[in-house]
Amino acid sequence: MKMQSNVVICGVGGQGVLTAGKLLSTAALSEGIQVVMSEIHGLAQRGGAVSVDVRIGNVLGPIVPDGKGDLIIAMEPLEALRVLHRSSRESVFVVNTQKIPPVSLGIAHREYPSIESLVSDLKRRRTVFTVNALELARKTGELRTASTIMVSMASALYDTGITDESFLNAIKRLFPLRYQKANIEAFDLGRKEAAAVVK
Amino acid sequence: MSEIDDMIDPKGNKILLLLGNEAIARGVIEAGVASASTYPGTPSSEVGDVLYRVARKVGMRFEYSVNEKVALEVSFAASTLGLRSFVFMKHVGLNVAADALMSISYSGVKGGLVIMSADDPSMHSSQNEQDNRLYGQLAHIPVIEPSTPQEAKDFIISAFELSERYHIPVLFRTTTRVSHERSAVKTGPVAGIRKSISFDYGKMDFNSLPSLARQHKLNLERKMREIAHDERISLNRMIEREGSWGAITSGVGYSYLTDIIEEYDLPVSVLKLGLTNPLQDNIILDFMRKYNNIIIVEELDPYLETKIRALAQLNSISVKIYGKMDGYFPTDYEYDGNVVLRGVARAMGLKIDEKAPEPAVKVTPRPPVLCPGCPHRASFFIVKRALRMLKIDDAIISSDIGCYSLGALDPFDMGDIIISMGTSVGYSSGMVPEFGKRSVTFIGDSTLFHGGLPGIVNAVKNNAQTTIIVLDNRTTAMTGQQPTPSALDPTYEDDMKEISIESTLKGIGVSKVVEADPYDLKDMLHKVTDCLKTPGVTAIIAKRECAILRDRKIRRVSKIVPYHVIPDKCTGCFRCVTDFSCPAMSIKGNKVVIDAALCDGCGVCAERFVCPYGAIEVDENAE
Repeated sequence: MKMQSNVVICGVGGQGVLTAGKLLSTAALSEGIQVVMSEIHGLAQRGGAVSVDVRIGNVLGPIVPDGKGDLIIAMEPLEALRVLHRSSRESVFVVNTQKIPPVSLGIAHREYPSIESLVSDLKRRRTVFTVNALELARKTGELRTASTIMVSMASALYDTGITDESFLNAIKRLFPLRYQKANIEAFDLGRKEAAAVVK
Repeated sequence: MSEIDDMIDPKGNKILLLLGNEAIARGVIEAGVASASTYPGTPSSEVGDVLYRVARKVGMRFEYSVNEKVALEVSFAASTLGLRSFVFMKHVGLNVAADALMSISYSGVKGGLVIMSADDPSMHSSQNEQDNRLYGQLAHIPVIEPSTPQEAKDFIISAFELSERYHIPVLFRTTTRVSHERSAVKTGPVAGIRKSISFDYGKMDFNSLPSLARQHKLNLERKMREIAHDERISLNRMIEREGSWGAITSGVGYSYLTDIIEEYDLPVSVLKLGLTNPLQDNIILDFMRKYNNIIIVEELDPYLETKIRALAQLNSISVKIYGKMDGYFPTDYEYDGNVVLRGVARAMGLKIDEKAPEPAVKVTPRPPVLCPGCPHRASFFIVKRALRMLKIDDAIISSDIGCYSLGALDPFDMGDIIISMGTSVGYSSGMVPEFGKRSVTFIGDSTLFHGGLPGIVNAVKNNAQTTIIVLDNRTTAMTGQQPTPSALDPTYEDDMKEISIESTLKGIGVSKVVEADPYDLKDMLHKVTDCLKTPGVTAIIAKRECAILRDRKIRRVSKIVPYHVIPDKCTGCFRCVTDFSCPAMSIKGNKVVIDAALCDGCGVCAERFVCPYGAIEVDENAE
C-alpha cells in the first residue's frame, strides 16, 4: 500500500459518481485513514461530465493535480478518456462499459464510437480493467448499485489499504436500510469480478 | 446513528466526514443560532439542504427567502431582537444583499449576525468569479476565511463571538473548494438557543438617517481598529520552519501550499490568516521582520497582497514580496497544487523536476444538459417552432439564471442575453417602441420572484414589446430543488402561503397571461403563437413540475415506464435527436434508440411534433 492514493472518479451526472466518492471516503475514514474529497455540484444536475477527487493519506489539498491520479474509476468509457491527463502511465483504470452518448453526437448525426475501440485506445496507454457494471447491478435488483460495484472492483484491483469491513460499515452508514442489502450484494459482485479479471 | 442524527447530536465529540457546507451547518447548530435564512445558490446551497431538514428539530427558524437581500433583512430582524442569526448565499447573491449590508454595518447588530458568501473561482456554476473579501473592506466589517471543513465549523462559532463582542455583522467567506471539500470534522457541543426576544434598543440605534449615520461611521471605524488589535481572536496561525522564507496565505491556498512545502521539504514558514479583514497588523509585521522573502498565496484578487505591500511600505520594512502583482501567481480561476507549485518554485528559484502531465485527449464534449423529461426542453422546442411559424427572426432571446440557461446551447440556441438574476425581464423592458425591437423572455418561477418583478413592472409601464415565458417547474431546480414562493413548501406547508404567478402578472397589468402545460405541445404552440401575435407585454406560464421531483415521486410508489423506438417505423430522419435532443435518445446505425435506463417516461417525444412518423411508443414490457 502506498502512503498516499489519488483517486479520480468520473462519469455522467446521475450515475452515482458522488455516491461512489462518498463510499470510498467514508470507508477510508472508518479505517482511520486521513481522507479528503472534492465534489462539484450545481449546473450539471444530470447528464453533464462530472468527476470527484478522493485523496487518501496525509494530504490537505482537495484536488488531485493533473498527472497524479493513481486510480481512475470511470463510470462511462468516454469519460475515462476525458480524464486521461489526470493520470500517469502507472495509473490503473477501472472502466464501466455502459455507454451514454452525449447529445452533441446526435445533433451532429454521429454515432457513439464502439466500446472496443475506446477501450483498446485506453489500453494502449494505461492498465485497464473493464466491467459492465450496469448489467451486473441488475442482479441486485437495483440499477443504482453500479457505482458500488465499481468502487468494490477498483479497490480490489488497486490497494488503497481499506478493509472489506470498513467498506461494509460505510455502506451501512450511507445507504437507507432498504438499499443496504442490494449494495452489500453489489460490493460482493464487484470483488468477485475483480478476482475474475486478474485471472 | 444516521448522518442527520449526528448532525444535530447535542453532545458532539464525534468525527464525521462532512462537506465544508455541512460543517458550516453543524457550526451554526453548535453556535445556537435561532434564525437562518438564504436564497439558494451554488456553492452555498448544501448549508440550506441540511438546515431545512433539521431546523425544527433543533428549535431554529429557517427560511428560503425570496432573494438574498430579503434573506439578509430577515436575519437582521432576528438580530435586532437579540437572536443569533445566520444568512448565507453565493457570491453574486451578496451583490443583491449589498444595499442593505452597507447600512447594517453602520447601524450594527444586537444578536450575532454572520453573513456567509460562497465564492466560485473558476466559475463552476456562476457567471463571474468576483472576490467577495472586498465587500468586507467596502462595508467595514470583519471577514473570516476558513481553509478546511473543520475550520469552517470552528470559525462559524468564532464569527458569532466576534459579531456579538463588537455588535458588528461578520462576513464569512468560503470558496467552492472549501464549501465542496469533504473531510473529517470533529464536532463540538451544541449551545442552547437563546429564546428571550426583545427590542429594547434605543429607538434610533438601527436608523440610518444622515445625522445618525455620521455617528455610526465613526463607531464602525473604532470597532474595526479595536478588532485589529484584539488578542482574544485566535483565527490566525503561524507554522514555523527553519529558513528565511515566509508565506502568507488564506483559504484553500493554505492546503495546497502546505502539501508542497511538505512534499519538497521547503524552508518556508507559513502565516495562515483566518481573519482577513481587518488584518491584525502586528502579527503580519512581526512575520515580515523575521523573513526577508514573503510569498503570498491567495486565489483571485491580490487582496492580501495589496494590504501587505502597503503595510511593509508604511513601516519601512525591507522585504521582497512575491505575489500576483509581480506575476508569480494568476489572478484568474481557482488554484490547485500545480498552480501553487509553479508560483512557489519560480519565486524561490527552485528547479523542481516535474514530469509534465500528458495533454488532455480530444473527446466529444459533454456539457450539462436538460434532464430527460425536463419540461423546459418542451418549452424551448415549442417557442422555437412558433417563432419559425410566424417568421419572426429578429426577436432577441433574453434568458435568465437557472437550469434553463442551458437552453442557450445546441439545439435550442435560446439565450442571446444571460446576465444576472432577473435581468431577462429588465433587459426586455428596454425593448421599447422607440427602438422598434422585440424580445422573447425566459424566466424561471423562482427567479421571477427573486429579481424579475421590478423588470416586469417597468416593461408594462413603458409599453415594451416582449413575450415572457415563465418556466414554472414548481421549484428552484438548479441548486437542488428548494421551494419557491409559488409552490407550497413540502416541509413547512402548514405555515406558508402560495403566491400565484398568474394573479401577480395580471395585477401588474401584463396584457395577456395564459397558463399552459409544456408537455401538451399542441396547446402550448397555440398559446405561444397567440401571445407572440399580441402587442405589448404578454406572458405564458409554462407550468409543469421539475422532472427530478416527478421522478422521485414516481419511484416512491411504482417505477418509471420508458418509451422506445419502433425500428420499422423510424425513418432515420433524426429530427428527434437534432431538434428535441433528449439525453436518453441516440443514433444507432440509421435508426434512433432510447436508453430505457435514462428515459423518464414523460412521453413528449411520442407526440407528432417531435416524431411525425409515430415511431415512438411507450414500452410496457420494459424491465
